[in-house]
Amino acid sequence: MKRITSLALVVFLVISAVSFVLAEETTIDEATQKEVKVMDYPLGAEIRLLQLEKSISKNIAKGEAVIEAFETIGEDTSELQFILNELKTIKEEVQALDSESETAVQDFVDLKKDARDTIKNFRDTANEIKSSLDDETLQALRESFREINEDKEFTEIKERIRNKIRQHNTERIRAIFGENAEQLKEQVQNGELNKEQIRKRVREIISQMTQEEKQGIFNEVREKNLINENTAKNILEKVKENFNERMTERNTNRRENQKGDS
Amino acid sequence: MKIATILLLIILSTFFIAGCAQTDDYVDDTGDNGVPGDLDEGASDEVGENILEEDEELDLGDMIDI
Repeated sequence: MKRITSLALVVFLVISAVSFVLAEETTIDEATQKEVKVMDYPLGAEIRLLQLEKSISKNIAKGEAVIEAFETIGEDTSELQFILNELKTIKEEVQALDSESETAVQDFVDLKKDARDTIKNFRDTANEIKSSLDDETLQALRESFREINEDKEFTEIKERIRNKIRQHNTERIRAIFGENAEQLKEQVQNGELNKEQIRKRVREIISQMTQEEKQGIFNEVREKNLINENTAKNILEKVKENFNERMTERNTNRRENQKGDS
Repeated sequence: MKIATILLLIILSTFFIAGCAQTDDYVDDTGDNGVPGDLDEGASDEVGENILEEDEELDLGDMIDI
């Protein structure tokens, strides 16, 4: 009896483990899900790809500072250098993307995930030897990270993103008010208002409208937002298909290219 | 025998809890069909959803924990 129970338990555990493995689903983090919503607009995809390029560039600069810090105390940095080169390759791949391509959202999600994974790999490796750095070096690293975060080195791409965001925001206002609300459009185009201030000004303009006009605007924007949400949801579902296979293929290609280069 | 039964119960309850945790679909039970009471606020919120912040950054994580 004991044997039968033990056997049944083992079989059950094996079946559970197998079903858990099969049920494991690719998940896309919440921030990315939110980010892709604007990619349905003409400038949205372009903005997201530029933002990804900028974030990777900043991390590359930080990675170089980390490697330099370890090199000054004679630590072996070959593994960190290898990972950083991989991140540089991902940046080149992002730069080569076409924001108008049908696969722009998929490419964005894929390469953002690759960048995050590669950065985590770098972080884990750097953290393992972090204790060899003295307080003074750590303080100097923090200082150079602060400077990198201030975007001084990234003025060109920052400017491009800013102009495109202003243009995108102005187009969103134009889509609601048409040829009206000229002053607001001008302020948005000149970057005089932040998101909350724009929302407040939109509220003020809407509050002066008739109930029918308000309802019309609400319905129109709500409908467009729902369509965007559904489109993003459907695209993300599609992105999840063969997600791991695509990732493995990209990683293999990059590693092979790195080997070929060295 | 008792240990096997306890183990079985633990496994089954784990599955039950995991199953419950996955039923997170949003249910709109407000009865307003998505139309807010304050249209000015509702419309400006909907518009605000598509407005982007100039200093928005994509978070890719840190290169080292310091």
